[in-house]
Amino acid sequence: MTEIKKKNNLTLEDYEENFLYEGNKNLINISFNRVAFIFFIFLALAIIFSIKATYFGFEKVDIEKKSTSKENFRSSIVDRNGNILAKTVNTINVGINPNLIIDKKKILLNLKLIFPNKNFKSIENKIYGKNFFYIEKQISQEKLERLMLLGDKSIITEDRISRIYPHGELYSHILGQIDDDNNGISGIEKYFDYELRSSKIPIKLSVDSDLQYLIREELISAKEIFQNIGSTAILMSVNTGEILSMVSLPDFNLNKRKEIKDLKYINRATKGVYELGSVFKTFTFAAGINEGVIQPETEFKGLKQRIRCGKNTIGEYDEKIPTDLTAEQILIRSGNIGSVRIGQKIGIEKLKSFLENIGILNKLEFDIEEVGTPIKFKWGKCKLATTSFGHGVTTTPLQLAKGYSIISNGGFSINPTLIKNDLIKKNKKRILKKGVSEKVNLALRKIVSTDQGTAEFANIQGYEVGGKTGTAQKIIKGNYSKAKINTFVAIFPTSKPKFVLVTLLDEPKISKNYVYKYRNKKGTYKGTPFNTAGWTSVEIAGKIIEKIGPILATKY
Amino acid sequence: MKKLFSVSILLLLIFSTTLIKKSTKIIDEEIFEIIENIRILEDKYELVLLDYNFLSSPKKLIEYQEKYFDKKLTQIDIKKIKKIHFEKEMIIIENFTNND
Repeated sequence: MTEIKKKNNLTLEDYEENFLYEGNKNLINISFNRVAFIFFIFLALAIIFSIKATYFGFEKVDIEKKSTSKENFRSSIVDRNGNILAKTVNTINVGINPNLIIDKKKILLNLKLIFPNKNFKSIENKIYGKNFFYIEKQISQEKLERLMLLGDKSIITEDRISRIYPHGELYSHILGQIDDDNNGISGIEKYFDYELRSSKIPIKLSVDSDLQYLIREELISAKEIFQNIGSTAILMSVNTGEILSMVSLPDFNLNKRKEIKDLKYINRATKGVYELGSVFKTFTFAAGINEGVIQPETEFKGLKQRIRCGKNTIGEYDEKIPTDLTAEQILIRSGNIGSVRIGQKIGIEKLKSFLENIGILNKLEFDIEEVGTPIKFKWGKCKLATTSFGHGVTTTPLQLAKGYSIISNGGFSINPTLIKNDLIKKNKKRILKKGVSEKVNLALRKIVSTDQGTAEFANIQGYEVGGKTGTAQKIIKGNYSKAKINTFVAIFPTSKPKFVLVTLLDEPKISKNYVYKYRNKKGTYKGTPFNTAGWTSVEIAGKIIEKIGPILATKY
Repeated sequence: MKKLFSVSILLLLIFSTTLIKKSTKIIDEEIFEIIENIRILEDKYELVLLDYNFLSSPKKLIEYQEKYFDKKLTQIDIKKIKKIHFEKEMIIIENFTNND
């Protein structure tokens, strides 16, 4: 009954049908912001990677310019034609640790078979000792394989890096040396040490190996003929200052590294400071024209054979020299008194300034550190007189080449360099007046091509060689000695000069048996009559030009 | 619709980013391999060049000439060497130097 009652007591409630789903708007907002945030992040990432992909697409990978951090790395040095002059290669040194040897007699026997030329007394002593020792440095592959086949634990190999100079002694004074720690200690190796160690790009020099070889050969033959203690030759472009060849003898093999202390090995081309004699007369002549005090045809009358300056007497070498000469004839005949007169016309300040401008009197900035400093002196009346004909004034052969380049190239300043420069210098600085070079070159040509000149042995047909000789007494321990420094500076072709060649012989002697072949006339002459530049350096310079001429004419 | 668009863009970006990253990595590896190969070839080339420079140096060539040939090297007369210019259909032959 109760259940029926309960069923009957149905309670009706209002059903509210007004339910509407209302999403949590705040929640949706949060989700959307989150999506937008992630979207933004990915968008940013996509942009970054797109930029990176585009960058890789456009990036020019320059392998050569990447520097290397390899500790013992050293870049190559090449000549102007790309021939390797110095290169670092991996080599292997082999040593023996005596403590690890099992059968000492057996290993000694095997070593004798592999290295028959070695001193086995000392090796035997070392094998029976206790300390590690090298059996062979920079071992060849073949010998290394034979050693390794022995299978002895005591044989120890070490990977090393060696500097190889394929031309041996040909470039010894230019390239210089490195020490055991890969530091440059002289020459290009020292001056460009940082560049060689930090960049993979080889250093390209301006020198030409063929020219260098031919010139060196001629200097070696000069030593056989004239018994000189040393010599140097510089071949340089008068318009760019690029050195095509620079040889100094005696030289040394760069592959046999040794400490060089003997003074005879100095680089005579750059470090040797010499009194060079009459080659300075060309500077006096050029300065006179440049300053407008003389012209080639200016006459000097009543030139004496001797004049006194203070305690010293200045005399002529050629006693048959006429008393009346033009300025050009003074240069051609190498007159001392005439040059003094020209110098006096120029004056101290102007001659000094001229010599400084063409780079003769001060130390030269160059691509190697072995550069000599001309000896300073106090100018005065007598010094002006002696400087006018090249006495009592010193400089280096390289500076001489620079000076002659400037006075022959139209009067434009150049700087000697050993580095190949492909950029053409358009804005050359003129330091001499226009027209000076033409007059000087004409006079230099006559020195070689006429009988009055002192350099007929350099008159090689087809090359229009001009030049000036200089015979000077060598200063030894502060005093003039009987030893000579014979120099010849050649400019060619004189109609449009391209090259300067300085040839210097240090202490040449006369040769009794050498046969000279005349260039301006037929016939020969046996024996050296005078120990002057005209009979020594000029002959060698002529032979050099004869040999290198075809290369210069066809290649440069 | 907006949600779908956003999600699809998002997926597209993720996908494209992955692809780009992957391809960049492949390119990176290829570049590295090429650089390494070039380096090895350069090393070999320089060693061969070193041998060549040594064997063809003027000193060696003169040695070979004396060893293997009977005839001696002769001096070239510069006056006998001529320059040839090709200009249009003309052939111009010039001397190297003035006859002084």
